[in-house]
Amino acid sequence: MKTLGIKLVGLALVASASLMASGPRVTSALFTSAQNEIVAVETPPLYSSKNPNGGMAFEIVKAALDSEKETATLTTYPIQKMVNYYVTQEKVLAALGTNFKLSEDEKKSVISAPIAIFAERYLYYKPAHPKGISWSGKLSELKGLSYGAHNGEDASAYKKAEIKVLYGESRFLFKKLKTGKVDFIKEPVLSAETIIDANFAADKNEFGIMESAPQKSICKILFNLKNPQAEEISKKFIKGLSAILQNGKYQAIIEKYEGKTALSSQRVEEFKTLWKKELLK
Amino acid sequence: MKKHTGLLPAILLFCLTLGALRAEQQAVVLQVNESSPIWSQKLPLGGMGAEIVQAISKEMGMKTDIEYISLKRLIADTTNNDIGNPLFYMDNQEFAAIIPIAISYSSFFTYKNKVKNVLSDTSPIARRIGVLKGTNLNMTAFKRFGFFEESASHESLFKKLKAGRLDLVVELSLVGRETIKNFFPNDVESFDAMVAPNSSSPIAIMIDVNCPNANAIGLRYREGLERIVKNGVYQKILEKYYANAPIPSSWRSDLSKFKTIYSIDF
Repeated sequence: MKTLGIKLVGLALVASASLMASGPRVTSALFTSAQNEIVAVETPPLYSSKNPNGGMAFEIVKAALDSEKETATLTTYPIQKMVNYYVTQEKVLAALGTNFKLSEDEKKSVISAPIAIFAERYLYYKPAHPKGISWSGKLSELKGLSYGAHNGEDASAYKKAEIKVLYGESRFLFKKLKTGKVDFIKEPVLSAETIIDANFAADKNEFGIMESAPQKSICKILFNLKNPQAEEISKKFIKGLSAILQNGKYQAIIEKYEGKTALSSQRVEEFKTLWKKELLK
Repeated sequence: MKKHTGLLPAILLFCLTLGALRAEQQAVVLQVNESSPIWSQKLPLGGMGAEIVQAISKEMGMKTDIEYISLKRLIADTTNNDIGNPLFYMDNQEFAAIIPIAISYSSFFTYKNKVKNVLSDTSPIARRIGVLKGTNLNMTAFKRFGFFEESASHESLFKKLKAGRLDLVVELSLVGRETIKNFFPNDVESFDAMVAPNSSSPIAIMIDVNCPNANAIGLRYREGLERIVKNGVYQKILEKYYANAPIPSSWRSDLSKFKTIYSIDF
């Protein structure tokens, strides 16, 4: 079995600030209107308030908006439900993420666009499964095991395969994995590295990758139509993203976080194809 | 065969009630950090937050002990029950229930200058803004608002403001006013304050996911809050602590919003 071994670029950017719990939570939202606020679940290095540049996905959004002379600020929350609430019930500009579980009415209140394709891996904890969890990619082979799904994730395929599903946010899914509450989880490669290095450095090598090709998930931006500027800014965003895909800025951001590898280049190309289809819609 | 669809909720309610009865027999320990006048060992009834918690407990026949511990211990302990702004705790700890019981607002404070003058300064790069250590969570795009300086205590922030070392302080509205009153009683009028528009935050009871009877305890606190809001006890506590300033008009709608946001199992 393999162990995670990808060099993490963003880790150094993750601050470990001690918190003054009895004080105000000082975010840029205090100084700005909600009109250009973008929300996400804190998931370094993909989207993170603690990262000076907001993380990889936010950097992409910011670069796309910059090219159209628009700005945005990032506010992160600890759970997906809060992000869903702010993008459907309040007036924030947009939300970033991969796991939005919205009602049909809520779907009508947002404009959705893809931002990136994340490489993901299925992970297990070696001491709980000394022989590993080997599979060829068919969920039916994992019948009887427990899967740690992200809050908001559509886990119906796992349930159909008679896999028990427990939900949580990434940082707690790793704890559930280590304590044996779940047998395997799926996590973007970049955030998996960050979480393990930040919280489980001593037994980093105990987290194994299940034998299968890397999975993929699509990171999206949802523009909130309750925000009066959202429709106009979403159009500018589409223009801006097309521009940074063409001028190489997009690829540079991906490589800054993932390194310059054949796989990351391949995913950028895949995203360009996806984006072309998106523009035709 | 007809399914007994009502049976499961009934069993669940029975179990929760049993848990709640057990929960009544022993004190629930909630830990907090001194932050007068919301939480304070020096105040006779413990401050606004403590009065609300104890009113809820009395209403529900529960016993709640509020423990004051150092901030370092409060943050380090990821197995305790906390009270405060959930966003400060949820990154590191899982909770079975989060019950918003009050709202805190942040204000901008200035000394011998109007807040609006400082905020409208066209050269924010020269603006020196004081915040409590560790509260400046979002570094993105902050440079355009001014230079941020951290202080370790509420008192030192306002001392620096008065000494002219800071132009603006960001502080919880009630805490800032209390700090000024306590440390500069003869100079209160020289300070100006303005509530920051996007600053409402919940003050919540947080029950750890591994606390025995966590769900039942959470339900009892929620029910107790509803009751003291309805019978007027809650309003009297707010009026006591907002004796010199109006209760923020958005308090009820903010509390309702946060109750919705946190009305989920974690």
